[in-house]
Amino acid sequence: MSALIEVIRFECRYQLRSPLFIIVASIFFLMTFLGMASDAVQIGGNDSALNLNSNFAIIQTQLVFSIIGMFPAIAFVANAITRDQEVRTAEVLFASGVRPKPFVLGRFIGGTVFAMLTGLAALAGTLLGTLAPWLDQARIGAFALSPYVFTLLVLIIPNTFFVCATFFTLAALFRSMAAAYAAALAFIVAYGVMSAFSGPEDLWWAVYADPFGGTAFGEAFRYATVYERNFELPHVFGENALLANRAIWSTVGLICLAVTAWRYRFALSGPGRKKKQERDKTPHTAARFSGGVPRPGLMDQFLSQLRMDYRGVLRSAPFYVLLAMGMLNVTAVIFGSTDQPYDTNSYPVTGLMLRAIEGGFLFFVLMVVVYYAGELVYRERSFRVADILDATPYANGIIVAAKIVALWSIIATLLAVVMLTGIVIQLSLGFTEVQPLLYLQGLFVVNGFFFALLAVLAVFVTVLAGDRWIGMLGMILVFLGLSAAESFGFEHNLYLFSTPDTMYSDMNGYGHFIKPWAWFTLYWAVFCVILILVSHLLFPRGRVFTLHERLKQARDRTTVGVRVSMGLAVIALIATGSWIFYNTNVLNEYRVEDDIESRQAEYEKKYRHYLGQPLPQADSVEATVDIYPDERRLRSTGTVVLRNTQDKPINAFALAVNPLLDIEKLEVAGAAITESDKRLGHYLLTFTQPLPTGATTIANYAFEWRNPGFVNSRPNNRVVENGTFVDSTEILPVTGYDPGRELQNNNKRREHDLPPVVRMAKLGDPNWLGESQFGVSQRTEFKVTISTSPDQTAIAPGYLRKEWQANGRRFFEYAMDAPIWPFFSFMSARYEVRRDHWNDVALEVYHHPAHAWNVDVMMSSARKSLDYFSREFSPYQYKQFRIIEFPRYATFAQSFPNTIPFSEAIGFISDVRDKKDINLTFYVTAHEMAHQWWGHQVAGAAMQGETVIVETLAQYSALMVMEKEYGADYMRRFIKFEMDRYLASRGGELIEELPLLLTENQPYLHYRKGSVVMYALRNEIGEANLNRALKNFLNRFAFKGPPFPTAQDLLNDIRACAPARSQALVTDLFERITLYDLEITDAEVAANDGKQQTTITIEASKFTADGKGVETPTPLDQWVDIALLPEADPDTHDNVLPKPLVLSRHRLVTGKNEVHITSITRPVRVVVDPYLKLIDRNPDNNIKTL
Amino acid sequence: MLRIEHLNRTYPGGIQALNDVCLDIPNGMFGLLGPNGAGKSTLMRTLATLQEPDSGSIHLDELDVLADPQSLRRQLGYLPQEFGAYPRTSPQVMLEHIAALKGIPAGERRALVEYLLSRTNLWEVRKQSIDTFSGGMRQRFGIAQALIGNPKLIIVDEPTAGLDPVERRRFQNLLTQFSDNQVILLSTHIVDDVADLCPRMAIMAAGRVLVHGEPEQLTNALTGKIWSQQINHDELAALRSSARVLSTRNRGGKLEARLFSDTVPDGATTASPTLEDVYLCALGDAGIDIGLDQ
Repeated sequence: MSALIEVIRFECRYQLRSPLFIIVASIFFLMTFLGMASDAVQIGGNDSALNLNSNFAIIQTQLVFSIIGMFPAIAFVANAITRDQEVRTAEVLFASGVRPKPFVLGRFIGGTVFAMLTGLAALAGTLLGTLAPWLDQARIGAFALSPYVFTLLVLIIPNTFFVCATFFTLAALFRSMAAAYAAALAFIVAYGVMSAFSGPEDLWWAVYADPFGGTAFGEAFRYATVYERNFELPHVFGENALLANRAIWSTVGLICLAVTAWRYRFALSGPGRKKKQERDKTPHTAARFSGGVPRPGLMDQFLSQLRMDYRGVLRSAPFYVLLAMGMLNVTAVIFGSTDQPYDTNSYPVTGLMLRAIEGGFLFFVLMVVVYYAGELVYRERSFRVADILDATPYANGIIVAAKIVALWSIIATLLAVVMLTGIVIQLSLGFTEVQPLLYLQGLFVVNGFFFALLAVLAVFVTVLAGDRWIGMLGMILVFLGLSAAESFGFEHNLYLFSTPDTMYSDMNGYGHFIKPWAWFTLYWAVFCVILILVSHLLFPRGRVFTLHERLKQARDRTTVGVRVSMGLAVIALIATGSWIFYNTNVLNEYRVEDDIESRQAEYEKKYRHYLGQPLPQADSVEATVDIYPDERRLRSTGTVVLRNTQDKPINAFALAVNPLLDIEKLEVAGAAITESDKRLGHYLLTFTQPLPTGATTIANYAFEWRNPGFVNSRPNNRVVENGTFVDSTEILPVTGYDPGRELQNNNKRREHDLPPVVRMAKLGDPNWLGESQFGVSQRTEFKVTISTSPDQTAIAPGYLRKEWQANGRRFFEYAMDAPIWPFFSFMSARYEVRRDHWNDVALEVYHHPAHAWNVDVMMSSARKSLDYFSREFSPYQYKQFRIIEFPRYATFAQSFPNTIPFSEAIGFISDVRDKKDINLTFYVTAHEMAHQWWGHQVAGAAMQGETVIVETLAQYSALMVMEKEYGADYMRRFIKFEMDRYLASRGGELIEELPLLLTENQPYLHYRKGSVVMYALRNEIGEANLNRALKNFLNRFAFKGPPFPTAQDLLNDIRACAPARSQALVTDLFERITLYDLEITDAEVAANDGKQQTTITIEASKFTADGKGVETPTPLDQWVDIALLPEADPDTHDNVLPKPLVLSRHRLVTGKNEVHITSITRPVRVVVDPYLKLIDRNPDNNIKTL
Repeated sequence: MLRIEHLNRTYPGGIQALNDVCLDIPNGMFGLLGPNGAGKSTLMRTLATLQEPDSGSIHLDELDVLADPQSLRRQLGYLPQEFGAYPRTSPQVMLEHIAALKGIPAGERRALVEYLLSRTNLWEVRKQSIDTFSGGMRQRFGIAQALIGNPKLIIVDEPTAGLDPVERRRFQNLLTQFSDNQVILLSTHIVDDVADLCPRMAIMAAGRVLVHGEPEQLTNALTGKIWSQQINHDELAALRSSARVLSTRNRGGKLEARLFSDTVPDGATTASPTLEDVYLCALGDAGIDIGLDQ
């Protein structure tokens, strides 16, 4: 025992004296402190309505530090067990009479204590950070000690213990620090792979398998509301997996430790097993060799050194571990990225594989580069061959050159393996349209070049640091520094050692991303030449004891060649830098994130008072749009006839114009521009004579959207070489103040001294009944002439009236035969067209030639939707329906009259061959088709609940078409996804959750909760009743207005068609935030008279929640479905229920309920609320197997 | 012929490792004898161009080594006191690499390496990892690499330290085969290495060259001044105060002390001088006690 204490004391003294502990603890403390107390440092990111010191944020920060903290923890414990070998004092120590057990345990305890202290430093940083007086006090909750104690006990201590114990064991086993670090890298990658699996239907064991408990914590917080995330802690002894997770991994740690303590023997690393020698003969004669002084060949030396270095890496076990991890990582990100909403998959097109690899791989390569730069640069020193080699006449530059090229070779090897992995995955999924050249371009050029530059930087930093570990720390500091600079608003790639992001689109290739990428790559390549030269000068040869000696070596190496190269490189750097600067800062405006936000804020501050002022309405728009795809230039001219539809004269009105446009002409007859703000895109037109009621005037405009040169970041992805897609707000003048430009995030608004977001008008506010959610009060005649290059097709809403070619360009004239909302799309690309029809409606899909997979599904969905909607709601108002593909720069589909722009990233590449999967293409097409009714036939008044009319009804319509196509059982799975996404999104709410009826453009409500609510309503009152209500609603409001309908009007129509017994449920669904907790606690079946008598005990309760998620119990008294289920078909998904034996409604009240159901066949499972009419955070306990 | 003139070197900590070292070293084996910390390795590394002196000059024949280290490296074989190897690397691969760095043309490398492997008795283990080598094998590998390129100057720093007697003998034999028209500089703290191998030698301590010359000559110079005396263990202190004791050795429960004196000490018998006596005398003259007493 005393020996143990002695070892611990010694260990603690040792750790205290080594700088590592002090450095790590201070860094951790500072990072969490600043993470809390300053905007510049972000850990995890927190922009929601959560408090800065919410329990969720505290736990999340410490989770991040559990992972980062692994590396110092390993340093503490692995060093504690291997130190004696590394510093070669092992013989002394092993002979000193300490017994192995106290030695092992003492060293472990000492190291672990210090690892925990660093965790504690991080926790203390958070705690002190929350007390900083300059913090936004609106976001600080009352101080409580409990989350810190909780985090310490449940998170920091178990995690540190686990990490220390396992890596201590590994290090003891392999007797090497490097092995422990390689294992740590492997561990991190495996961890990343695992966290890709976190969907609601994903692996149930993930919550147990995560040693840090991240998944378990995530699961415990999954459906937590803002209030709960702020103030409540997960129940360790509750239903979640926390306790089990903590217990499992602490036990694993204990076992590791026990094994080490029991098995550890003092032994020196050294000769392993000796290989059997092959016995062959000595060379018969002594070969002769050149006499005299040999003449070293530079290339020979370089190649030999390169071979040694590359071979060394290829022969090391960590490389294969890393390679395997790289493959695993890539596999995971690829499967993660083909993973689309509702657990569907897309085809593994090569472009998608590249994107996935880019997204998941950069960090991995960075780690590999940093690790191997350290490994390679001082390899000769660490293996003590430097003295021998440095006395040979190798030319000075070759070592540095060999190290860099070896590192490049490692990267190339990794990329090649990754590429093969990708191809194998593609082929294994039955996808044969592999694009090997695109792989080469994307991996080895677009990404590979940057990795190569990274390698040079890593070598340079390591050479400069003079030590492998300091070099690694240096690289980490460099990257922390760069990302800190970026978050401080220093975003220029000219100093961030970065190249602009690129995005590959199947339609547009690398497109306009390539030019800036190429220039910045050239620029940094030239910079790297300088780094290489400096590395060459500073690389120590022989024994260098002082800086002075190092500098002398550098001076001796500064030959004419070096001077000239350096001079040329500096000149080239200045030249390319200047050219880039000219493009990014002179030809274009250089704007950082903060500039953009400031401008949004400025626009709001200066011009918001124009909101709600009377505006003239467009009677007709006659537009001309000329698209020049090669130049990425667009010209937009036209005439708008404006009418005063108000009952009093208009003196002046505001116009919003996209600030990126050059304005050649902006004239309104009878009005003068009295305010002109090009920078913010605001104009005020004042009539010389006020425009009388009913009178019209004409506005003429001519705009040009140029994209000269290239930009530093955020390029214009709208006007592109193949796949232009702009809408009218971007290229036409828009009347009034544009509230869409306002900053929506209240935290950002406070930074810019703006009041909290001005909320939407209250439901039923009479002042806003005259304005539709399109921001106008009437529909508009629309005609457009749109031209493009001769190989492209240009499309806008309306019917094609004319098509011709002139001056080497292709012209199209589209016009709509009835007024439409003044919101138009303009597109141009090289398309293949598929044509079909439904009755007399022409169906057309304009798609990228390689994306023909799902065109049939789109056609089928369009036909079935038209069928259902025109039968159940009202006739389709157009003679044509077109879907038009656009590049993946945006990932949505949007419904314009007879025209649906549809991103290549969603339905076009979805793999819908498996009939068990949810058909994303079918669903999205039906949803967009439904907008031709919900949006284009009827749109809501601009107030709360407006999106219920447009989006919730579109969701409902799509659900009905899907149900007809795929069956009711299939829908349960869809609804379960919707329910999950609704519940999981509540905790991220920015302002407050509202009942569905009052939704203020909150997608998780109007889409996700909307689906759940409408489906429940349909199940409650029946499809016929509900559709009758919608038909009535359309009858009252379609193509009419003002006044425009509100969600209340819709609800009134619904209530009118719902039976009396359902009214309470309608209230719960639409007008309250209602949550249920139903649980089958017991279920038994007994045979009686040849019949099966099932007795089910159900624990039930009901709550209403407020906007922050504070729940109040309310009495439950409700009829709820209960079903008895037969054996499930093994081929169907778990979330698809078989057809029930018995489905009946039973009255449930708060507390314990006992229900008896009789059936002929013996049931296998019982389920309460099988069709998910009630929002229940734990639907899994609604089902019980008998 | 290697000419070392007025070499000085002081380390950042203030330790003067070389103090006005001057030596002329002709072709053949030259032994540099000195205790640990004498500055031998510093001198060796300086000659091997791995570090620079603060002042002084080194010439190999006409070549100014400090001005043109690269030219020296082309004619240099260096076996450092301590060295390792790349992990999982065989002597064959390693030797071929060093041969490439030394500028042996690709076509000749393999034959040269095979020749050296067999000369140094490493042929059997040529594909085994150097990591697994015993001390003797490792030193033989070391000499093999030093011999690549037919160097005019070969520097071997403490090559026999830690070898068992058989390996040491083997290694010495290996060295004697290569000494025709090269300068071979052997540093050691083992007197027998020099006695057995070197026609010329120098003794170094505390950064200075204490004496240099031919071992025989230096030994002969002590003739008549070395005495041997049998004493009891408890008489040593008394003896020390009256005479200069060079070394003591246990012999049958008694101590045999070797004394240095111009006249006959009481109770001492005359003894024939050895190179060890030369070494200890030189150290003693310089005021250095290396504690050979037992």
